[in-house]
Amino acid sequence: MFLVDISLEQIELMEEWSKIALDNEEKIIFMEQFNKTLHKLDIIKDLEIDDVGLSMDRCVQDNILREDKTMPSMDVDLVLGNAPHTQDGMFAVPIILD
Amino acid sequence: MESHKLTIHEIKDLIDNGKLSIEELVKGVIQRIGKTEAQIKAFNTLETEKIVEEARAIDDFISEGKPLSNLAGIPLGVQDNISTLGIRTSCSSRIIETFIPPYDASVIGRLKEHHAIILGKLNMDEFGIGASTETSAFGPTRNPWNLHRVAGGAAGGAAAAVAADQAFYALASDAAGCLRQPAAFCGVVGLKPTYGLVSRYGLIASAPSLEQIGCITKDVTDCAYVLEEIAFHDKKDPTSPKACRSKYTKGIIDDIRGLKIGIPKEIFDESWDPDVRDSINVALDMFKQLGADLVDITLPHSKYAAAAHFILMTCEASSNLARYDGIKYGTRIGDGHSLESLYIKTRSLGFGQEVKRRVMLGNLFLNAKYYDSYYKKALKVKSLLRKDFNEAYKKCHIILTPTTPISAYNFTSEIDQAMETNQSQRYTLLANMAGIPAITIPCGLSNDGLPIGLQLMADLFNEKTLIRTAFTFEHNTDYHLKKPMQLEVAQNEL
Repeated sequence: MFLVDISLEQIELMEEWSKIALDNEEKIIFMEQFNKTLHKLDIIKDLEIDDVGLSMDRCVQDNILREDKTMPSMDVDLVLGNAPHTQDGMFAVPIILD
Repeated sequence: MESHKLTIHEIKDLIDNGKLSIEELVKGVIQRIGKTEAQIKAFNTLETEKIVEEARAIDDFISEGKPLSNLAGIPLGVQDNISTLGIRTSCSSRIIETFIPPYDASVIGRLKEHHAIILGKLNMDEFGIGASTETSAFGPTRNPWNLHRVAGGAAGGAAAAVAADQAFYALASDAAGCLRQPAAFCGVVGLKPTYGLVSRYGLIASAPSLEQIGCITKDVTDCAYVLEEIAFHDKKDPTSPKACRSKYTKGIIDDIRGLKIGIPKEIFDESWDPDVRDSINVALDMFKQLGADLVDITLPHSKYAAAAHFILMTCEASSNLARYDGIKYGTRIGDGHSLESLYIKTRSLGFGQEVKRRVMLGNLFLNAKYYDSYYKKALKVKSLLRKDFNEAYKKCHIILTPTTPISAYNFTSEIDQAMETNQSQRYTLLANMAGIPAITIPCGLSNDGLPIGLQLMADLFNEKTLIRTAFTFEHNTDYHLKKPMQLEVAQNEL
């Protein structure tokens, strides 16, 4: 299905999918900009290419799995070094379950 | 000696003959940065404190007669989305502005093994999303040729730094021409290698099926030197083929007799800036004089490329940027009331407006309702383009286009980086869609003194032919020797 115009309702869905919140003014501006962009993308709407295959990476993909041998992991302090909030050697997150 | 103006190969000759030390070279470029950075703002992070010591250590190796690579001791800039151990890597975004990578990208590790010297991290459009470096959370980079014009993007910092002689070369990523377009705008050489040739391990992903690490240099010889070092098989990158590499410096030959250069009808029929048209016409005459044959070719699906590329890039960006959630790294905004509110507050305040737009659009295109019409169709257009190029390369060795149909433009008052600025990359993104290598070289100046670039594209893994063609043109012209004079004038007025 091709979109004709994005509505404010759709903007709110897109916010939810993206985990982004816009203020009311931004919603209107974004809606106008998205609609401009979508109209420009209409050029591919009428391309009849049902029988064309999808492009995958053209690289020859060797088997990228390594041998099942234990290798050193990254040091925990290094892993946690950039985390904004840690506790007892773990990432700290808000409560998920009560 | 104004050593900051030298190229890598000139430096190598001087060092081999004992006429220059790495310490002098490094001190010269630090001084250059000090004089010009306030005007250009090419760097997000500078690491100039420790590098004089590193330089002295390399001078000791040289005096001991130890064999060193062509890039040993040569200061470079690294775009701010390529991981550098211990050096802040922010992608020019507030959401990871404090991120310090715990590892080096594979290309950085290789360059460090060869004693390269990292000057710092270069400004870019946020997460590579943009075409002018205006979406950087730290402010835009200015074009050294005219400080009121954009340096291009996303790799504006990299191109400006090399053009202004702040760095001898730079590494940057290219997903749509984000390395080549700024190189053209700033009058320097920019190469996007074949997809897979250079390891992407450690490149902070934005559009991984389209992007590749490449290099920006002052001339084509330097480009060959750098490519030779950074193109290697890397087990950590599953798209890195084991073979297909060459000795690229062997492409530095002034001879293109019998070379067939394809002229794509659809692109040459479009409207460009008159200055671009004139420069490309002069370049075509030059190629003929140098012995190349110009061959008409067609890329019938090229008119769909920009739309398809935009869809693919936004879809991949929305997926790759989902990891920025305030938990593992970067900014966290929120009082921990709930996980959901933490995600939303962090991302809403951490991302810039253009990134938010792309993430939201990408999620829209990937939604089940619109997936077939947008994302799947864009993938099919990519297949068609690949076939177009396969057919074209049966008739020619190299395809030529202008790098961009315009020269560097004024800073925009409203940042709307979507399809409008995507248009300035409508020829460069063809190479990303097809996975082929492409290079931009200077080929003229506009009437208002801004550089114009021409783009050459070769078939997969044919970087040597690309380098030979580019070198031959460069060797018989002097566009690559021109320097941004406005910067020098501004310098003298300080």
